[in-house]
Amino acid sequence: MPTRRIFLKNSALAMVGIGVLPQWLARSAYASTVGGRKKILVAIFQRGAVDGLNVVVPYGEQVYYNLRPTIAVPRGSLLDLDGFFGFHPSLAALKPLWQQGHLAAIHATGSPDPTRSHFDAQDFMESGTPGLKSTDDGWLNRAIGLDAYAGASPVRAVAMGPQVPLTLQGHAPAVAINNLNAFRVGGPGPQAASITATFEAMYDHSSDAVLRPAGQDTFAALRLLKGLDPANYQPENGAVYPAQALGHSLRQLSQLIKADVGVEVAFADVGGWDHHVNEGGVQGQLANNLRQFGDAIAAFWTDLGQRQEDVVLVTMSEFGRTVHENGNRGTDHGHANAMFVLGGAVRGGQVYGLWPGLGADQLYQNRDLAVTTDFRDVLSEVVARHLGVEPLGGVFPGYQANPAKFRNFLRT
Amino acid sequence: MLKLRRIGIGVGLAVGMIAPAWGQAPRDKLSPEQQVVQALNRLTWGIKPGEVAAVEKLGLKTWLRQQLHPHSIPENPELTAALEPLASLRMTPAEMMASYPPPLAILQMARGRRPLPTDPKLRGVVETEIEVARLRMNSKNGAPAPGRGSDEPVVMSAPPLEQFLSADQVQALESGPMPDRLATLEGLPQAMRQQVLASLPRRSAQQLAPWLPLGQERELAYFLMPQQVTNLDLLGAKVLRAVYSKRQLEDVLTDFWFNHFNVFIGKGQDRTLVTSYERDAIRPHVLGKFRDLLLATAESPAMLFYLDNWQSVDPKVNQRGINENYGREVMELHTLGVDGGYTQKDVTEVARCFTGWTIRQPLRQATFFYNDRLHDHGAKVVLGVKIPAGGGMSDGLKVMDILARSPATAHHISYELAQRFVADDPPPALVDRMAATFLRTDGDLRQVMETMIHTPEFWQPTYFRDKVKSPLETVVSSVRALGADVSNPTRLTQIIAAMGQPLYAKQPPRGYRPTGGQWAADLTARLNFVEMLAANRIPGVQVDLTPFAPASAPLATVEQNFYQALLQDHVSANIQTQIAQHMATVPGLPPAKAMQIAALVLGSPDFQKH
Repeated sequence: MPTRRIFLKNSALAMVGIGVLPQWLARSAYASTVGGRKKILVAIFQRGAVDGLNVVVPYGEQVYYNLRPTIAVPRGSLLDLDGFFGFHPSLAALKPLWQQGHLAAIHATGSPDPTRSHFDAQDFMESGTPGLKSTDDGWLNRAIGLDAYAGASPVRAVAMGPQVPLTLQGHAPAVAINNLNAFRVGGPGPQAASITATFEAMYDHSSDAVLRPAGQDTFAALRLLKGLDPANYQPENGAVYPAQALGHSLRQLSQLIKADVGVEVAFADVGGWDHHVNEGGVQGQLANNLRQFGDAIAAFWTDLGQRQEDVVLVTMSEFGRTVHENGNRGTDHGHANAMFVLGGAVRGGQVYGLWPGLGADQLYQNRDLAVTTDFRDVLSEVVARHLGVEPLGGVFPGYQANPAKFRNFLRT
Repeated sequence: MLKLRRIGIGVGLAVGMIAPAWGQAPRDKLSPEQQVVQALNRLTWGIKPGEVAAVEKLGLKTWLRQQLHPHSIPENPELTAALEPLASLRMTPAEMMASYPPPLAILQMARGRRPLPTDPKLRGVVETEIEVARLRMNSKNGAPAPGRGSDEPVVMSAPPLEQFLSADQVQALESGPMPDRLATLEGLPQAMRQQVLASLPRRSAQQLAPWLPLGQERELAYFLMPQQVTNLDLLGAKVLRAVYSKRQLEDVLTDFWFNHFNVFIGKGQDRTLVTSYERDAIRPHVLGKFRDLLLATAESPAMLFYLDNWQSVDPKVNQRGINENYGREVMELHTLGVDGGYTQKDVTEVARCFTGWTIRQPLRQATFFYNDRLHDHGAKVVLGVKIPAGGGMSDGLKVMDILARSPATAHHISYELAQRFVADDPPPALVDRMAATFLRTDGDLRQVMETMIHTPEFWQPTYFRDKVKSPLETVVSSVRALGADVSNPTRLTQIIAAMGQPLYAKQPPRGYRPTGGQWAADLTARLNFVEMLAANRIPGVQVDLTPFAPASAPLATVEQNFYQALLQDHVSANIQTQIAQHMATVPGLPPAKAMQIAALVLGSPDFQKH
């Protein structure tokens, strides 16, 4: 029985033979699978420890205002969510998604590991094994590895950036796409196709244990994405992406998803959240970053249109920041943080989790928001209920994720 | 085999004996010519045309001995000349911060807490930066301050271009094709060129930059953001050295040891500390004693800042207390290795020993300073060794001794070296031999390298050209293989970053792993790079393929020339067949096809390995 990959090759050749190549590959062999369309998970990593307390603001806590005399967001400026929490005003673009019930937050989430090193904490979160430095692969790669099947798309797992992050490293194939526009080889001349084919044959016949599979994955992905025309892609439904890194990444990701090329899990990251200095409140560095962050995600959501049903997007950051501000209108490294989930299957419009409070005896090490939901529980819920992957112990080794403890932000 | 072992042991014991007798080596495995290829492939950044013949003529033994004694090699005058304008390379961090003030220094000047520079040119640049900083601080809506938008001139108070240039020149410079822009600039006297660069709209300036010779790009960067210049210098120098240095092994080892003692240039002050770190703490020690190297990194402001030890203090003195970051990494990554047998308690105790190792005036002097007042003077136990109370800086020095002399360190270091130079999965016997040398010579890195090189495994056919190149190795070896000239390495550094190896910018302390798997994810970037290189379309790089494809040469000869120069004739049948098949379909005369052949060979799996 021919595998899907062979099927695609033939159909692509057939299309070329007929002389018809769609503007972008509207339907491919991956467009529908047995049992309906595959679900899609998008993981966004905010690198640098975003200040969750100024993002999903607990304005109901007076302590918040006491400890942040200059950078707290005033009650009047916030976008109220539920009478206790409010959005930073820069997230105006996300407010409608909240109101429509597609967007939720889980607060006081984080890692049991006490490290305040960005590098360690990011690695722990990406590997999904807090405290263990020797883990070489990521939770998301293990998740799709557990659900391996023949004929999966070469772009089943895609990282929007120049490298495959730890989250997506591992045995399952993953592709890094830095710029969809440039995702081709062979140069600009008339020989491009022939050069590509020659390279492909070289790698296909190589005996190298690393280069041969890398070549096969790359050329399969190249063939698959050949019909796309990213430069002329028009976002739908009036979506306008901000002209910055996350906007570019999500715009390309949206195109890939709608092109039905078989993307199932995707990763993008955005940096610049390490606001030790001049974080600001209503205005400042955080406000600027949040505006673009919110606008990019909102545009992505809008652009997805009908595909919203299939997608869950989850955001995370390696840890939060101190409850009190420091002497530089900023904050230092903290502990618990807020995560977002956005998707058709999300029961939005709520802040999930167990709010521990900001009282002196409620803080972690007398300075930080305490963790009351392990980030692995949040991700486990998404992996189990949205992707249908199990066992969870294979995704988060050494951790007993218990569905009874899930916060239930996804419709089952 | 037995013969070689005896000789090998003889080498180890006879201090001062530099090269073994080669005749008895099991060279039935690799031919003499292949051995030269292997040595060049593994111990340099890539083989240049004619280099194999040159080394064969010199003698492999001699070449190895020279490379292991870099000071015996006169440096390439081309390199010295290329590095000359990169002034920040020779500066201390204090000088760098004075000459290229970082944003925090600008902020201090804006607040009147730091004196302005006296140099008039620098003062002019800084005054502009201060304007911008003030506007940003006062900005109501947090929007980017004027002067940073893409159409604003680079320096806010710069006079308009029309003051220096004719209307035609302005037109050519701002919106003409790139060759016209370059030609226009080229035709200006130097003083005027600086003015013009400062007056260019930001977008034009950024488009132009990679095409300029490095010296001119520096001037441009100086007006955009002075701090950028130090980055340009450091990254550019790394690529220039790799391409041009005659002291190849020393340069490769500098890369290895920087990576081993990794520091992330993007972390705050490290931006101005890394240049001195590589120059003063790493490079001088790569063939010296490991303990000296270890101590140099421990005392370097770059490492102290990166792993936060500069803020680690006795909790009785300041409640911020001890920071364990360095204490953990110095054992896990720098010496013993993750399985080296230390405990969490050891991490804490080591961290206590290093309290007080800090930086004097990080934003001004930025020098190492042991501050006894911050030190935890209590008694400690590190890896079972008791360190009595009342010690000062000696506590940390004691830890250096314990770690540098540990067999776990000897093994960990040897393993990493073997992984980089021999195989992703190095043979245990080789690693053990190197570790034995390490212990016996008290960490003499030159002798450890000699043990590795003079060992049969290094010359086994299984390890002949079977390591996947890192992005840096791919880019540099391609440039060297074609005999290309690099007038501005900046674009190359960006290409290397886009392939996943941004130089000096690995965030976690672990550094880049030398194993192939992690690099293979982005084949498209490699294939596109070689295509552009072969077509001479990379800004700052000049490629001339005529030597490979003389005017009347037939196709087969041209193909042969490339196989000879790029792969030393060790080409798999697979590659030759594919290329021959493809080239048969390409119209035009052989010299015109040289570009494609070059790209196909450089992009082949054969060339992607070394």
